[in-house]
Amino acid sequence: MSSAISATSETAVKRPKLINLLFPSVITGLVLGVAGAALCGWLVNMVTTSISPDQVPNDDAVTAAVYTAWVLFFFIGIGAFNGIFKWGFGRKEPSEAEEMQLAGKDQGVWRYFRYTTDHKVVGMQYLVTVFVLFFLGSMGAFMIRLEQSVPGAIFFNPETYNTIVGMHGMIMIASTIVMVSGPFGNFILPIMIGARDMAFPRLNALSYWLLFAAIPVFFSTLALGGFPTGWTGYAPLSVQELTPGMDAYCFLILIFATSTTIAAMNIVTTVMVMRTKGMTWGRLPIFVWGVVFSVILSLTAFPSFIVSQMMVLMDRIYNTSFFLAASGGSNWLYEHLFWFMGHPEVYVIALPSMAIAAELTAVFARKPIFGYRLMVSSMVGISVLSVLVWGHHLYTSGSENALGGPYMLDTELISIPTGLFFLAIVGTLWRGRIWVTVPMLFIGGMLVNFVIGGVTGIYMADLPTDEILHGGMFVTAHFHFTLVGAMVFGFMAGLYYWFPKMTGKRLNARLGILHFWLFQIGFLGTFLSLFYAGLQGEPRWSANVALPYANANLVASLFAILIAASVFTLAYNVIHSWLRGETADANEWGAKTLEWAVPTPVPLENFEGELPVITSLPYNYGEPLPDLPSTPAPEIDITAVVIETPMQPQGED
Amino acid sequence: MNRVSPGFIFGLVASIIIGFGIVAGIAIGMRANAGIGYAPDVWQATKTGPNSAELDLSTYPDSQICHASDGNPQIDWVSYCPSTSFEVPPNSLITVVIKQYDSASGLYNDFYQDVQGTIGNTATYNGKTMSQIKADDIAHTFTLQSQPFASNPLYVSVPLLGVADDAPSNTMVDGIAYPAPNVIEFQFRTGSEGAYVWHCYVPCGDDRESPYGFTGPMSTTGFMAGTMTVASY
Amino acid sequence: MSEANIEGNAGGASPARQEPRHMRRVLIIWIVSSVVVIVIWLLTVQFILPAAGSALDDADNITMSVFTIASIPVAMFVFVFLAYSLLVFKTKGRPTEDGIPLYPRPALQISWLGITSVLCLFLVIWGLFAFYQETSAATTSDTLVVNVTAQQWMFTFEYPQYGMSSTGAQMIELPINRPVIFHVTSEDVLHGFAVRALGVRVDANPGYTTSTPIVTPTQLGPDVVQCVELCGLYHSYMWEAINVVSADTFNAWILSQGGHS
Repeated sequence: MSSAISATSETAVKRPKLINLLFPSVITGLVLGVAGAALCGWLVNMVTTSISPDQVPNDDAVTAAVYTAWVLFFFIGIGAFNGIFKWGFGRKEPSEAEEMQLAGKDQGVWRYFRYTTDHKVVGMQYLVTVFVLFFLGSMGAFMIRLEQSVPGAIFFNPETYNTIVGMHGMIMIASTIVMVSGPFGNFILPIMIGARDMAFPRLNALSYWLLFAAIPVFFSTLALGGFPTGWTGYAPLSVQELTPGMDAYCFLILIFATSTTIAAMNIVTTVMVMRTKGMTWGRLPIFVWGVVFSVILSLTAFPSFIVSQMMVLMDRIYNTSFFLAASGGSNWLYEHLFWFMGHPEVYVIALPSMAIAAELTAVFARKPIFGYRLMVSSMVGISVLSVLVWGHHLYTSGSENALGGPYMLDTELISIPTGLFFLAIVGTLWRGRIWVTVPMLFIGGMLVNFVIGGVTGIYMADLPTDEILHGGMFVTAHFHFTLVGAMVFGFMAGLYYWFPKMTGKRLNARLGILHFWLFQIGFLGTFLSLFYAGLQGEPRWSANVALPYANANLVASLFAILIAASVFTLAYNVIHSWLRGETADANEWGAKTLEWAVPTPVPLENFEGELPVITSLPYNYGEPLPDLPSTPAPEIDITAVVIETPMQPQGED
Repeated sequence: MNRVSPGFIFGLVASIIIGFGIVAGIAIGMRANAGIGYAPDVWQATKTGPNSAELDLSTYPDSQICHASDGNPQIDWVSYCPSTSFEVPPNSLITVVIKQYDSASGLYNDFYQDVQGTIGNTATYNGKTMSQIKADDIAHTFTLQSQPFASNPLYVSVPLLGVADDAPSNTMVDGIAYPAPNVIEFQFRTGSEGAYVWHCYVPCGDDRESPYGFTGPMSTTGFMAGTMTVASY
Repeated sequence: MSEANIEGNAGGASPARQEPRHMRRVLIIWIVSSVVVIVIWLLTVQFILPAAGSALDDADNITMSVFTIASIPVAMFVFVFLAYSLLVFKTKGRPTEDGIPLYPRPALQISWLGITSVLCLFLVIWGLFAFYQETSAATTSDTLVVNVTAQQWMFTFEYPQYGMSSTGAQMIELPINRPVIFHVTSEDVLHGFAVRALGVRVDANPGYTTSTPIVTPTQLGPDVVQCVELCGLYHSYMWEAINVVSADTFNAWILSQGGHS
């Protein structure tokens, strides 16, 4: 988007014809995707049947062909390749009008259903998808708690239960990875750094639609027999070929990891080159730092995930033996590949939420961040260390007894930068003028839950205590406290905070308070009980809860009812507020970051007129103190944003 | 916003109720999905006296006999028939009669060669009492195990003798030809009420090597794995 | 820019007269609540941690207790400062003025870094010592060797020194006060061999044999082996009872299972 274009669309609003809106759109994508998948599936079925000595098709090959064709044809159908083909066949460069078309200008609500490049559209698409994924994942959680409320496999067959556990885990992991960098990283972040769009708008749309395409792939496992491995997908159980449903899991990961890698490249490039004039690295809002570190970590970690799943697929389809000891492979290989991703991945989830907490605390305490550089350094420390600690998931695997000590040292070390970060948040709150809004409540809950989650992590980081805790419910409770109690709470804080900017309506505060308390009390009750069960020795993945753990699990399931009620309250709040809520102010919370300086709804090119010039961090709340000695007043602008600077060249493009 | 309208409260309550309704709907839907976890109907042992019962089972080399009309047939999987969910009375002597139509595959783990947990730790094979079968001659096992921390544990493991590979298919069952079966009979006592699981320990899931032996029918209830409930009826 | 801010507001720790009162108050609340919670922990730990069945498990219980005591002040720090801030510094509705800009003095950052590093090192060193203590014992002629084979979905046990494998009843016996080592392998997929009360667990890997540390049961009575790595359909039914008995009972059991003494 060249800055030469002055503000937007107040000239004749020409609505495109419906046929142009529909074709291409997600509808053509779905139609072509299903058709292509069916065709390729049939072809591969025919081929593998005819070349097999028993005239039996290779189910895994057919499934792989179906999924690959689905993705390819979906993208052909939705028009993702149109620009590439035009470029390849030597047509001229797209004009401004065509770029605007691609960005969804004048398309009304249809732009959300097409391959639209406007980062705000992509952000909203991510938000709705995250809601849907969270809802479905929560349903899985409630199934789990239902089954675990009484001993015995009463409600579900253990095979069904294992599939439910695996689906719940994978859906939630996928959701939590994208929950902040998807909606807010796309919608808010470019505005926050003073850009008009992201660096790669078409790749932005690609990353979203890849996530969209991955969802039916994953849910097709329900028609293929499910998968027995839980979300970790350990080989050789995943290679044992119980059902073709395992392929759905592998392909979900291939597609999803590609989506996040593309999004990560996009975010990193955008922040590196498209910050507006004056926004040096030292004046970057802390939220942007958090998202940037998170995506850099994901760029490091997810390739390992992709590789591990490719190897599983090759073992399944082509009978290679990466993970089969009987033919020279090793299951430890899978474990190392998986956890090399798995550990940084939880920090991919954590850093954006922690950054939201830092960002919002400054706004709601009306105080500068207590130690901005401290926070940034601690995020660097967390990112670097998190890549080095994956072996702590393998303490009891038998694969690395000599490395236990170094991994333990490393893992314990992460608590230092994490502690610094939370010191900074507590310091920001201290002596502020705290406006206890719903986002602030969620941040308070996040702090409480993260402390509990972090402390319990220490037990498992230490070798001797991990001997009694690994693979038990204690682990489950720990990661729920950190991922849900802290990180999802951070997402909720960000949701209540940015919803007014993204939709123009404010979420109902009373429902928000109800949502928070139901969630927090239910969450504490459920997972503290599960900590207790884990200490007694209950293993994870128990379709059948044994008698000694029955009481703790029953209590956990009863509290989970509160969590369920909180989810439905949120759903009602979102739908009701979106349709009939109060209109929000452009600067709803009185914050100083750039997204609050633009009107709501945000114009297509974000900033009307010239881009802003930044002269300080957006956290310079507070007047100079009354009884300070007469030092010269530091050069701070009370407002962090200077909207017009007529004569300076703009720094983006 | 000091007053909330009744419509608002109604909407909230309705959302919560609908939400729980969706939860219930999904639970029912998952249970009904036979593809991801199949549990056949319960097969009760026939009572032969106040404290005894007989359980008649068969094992077939395919599942035409009792799975042909399923939603998820898997015709070429080996299977126990008529069901894998058994119910037996408590505090009774249970006599199990298994007609075994399948050929031998061999064990991973010779632990299961022995007859364990039955009365006398023996079983009769076509009338001959034995306490152990050679690992290579075993087609399936019937191995009953308890839940963790069971207060009334039961453990029974009986290897089932395989029919010869070259046996002619001269026995008709429901119009399908199988070789003449080996009849295996054994007895065990149940205690008080409880839930148990059973499973076959002969890796015949796929004729490749470990870990494939236990996949397929071996890991699917309704075929080579199931439950046994000790309950009064 | 922010550099100037740090210098310019270095007096941020001593602005109005109210600051010392708040800080003093919250520190007192913090210390008192930490002590109270530590006392509560010490009184209730016996109900929370199950009884130890071996010296190893006992050491693990002590480690957990010590770590909890070390973490309580850290946790209370966050809880107390958070609660105090939210209760005392909150405004009614939208705030009309900004908070006092505070920036961390280098002294605070360095001392915080120092304290957390010391705590962290304490945890690491304690953990390393405890771990090496627990795992450094060498096998002696007295050590009982048990070979465990895990498969879907049962553990089978072999006592090679006595030439027997346990048969039936999903139960094995161990003699009290005699060190035992478990060598674990799997026939098919990954399983987790875990004995909670003894405080040992190790994965069962197909094609490899892994070993638990040498552990000595010190309590008579029942115990369980559970599978802690998801292994398919009946993962949560995969268990074995352990009975820790006297040496004579154990020898009798060996003979009854077909072993030689």
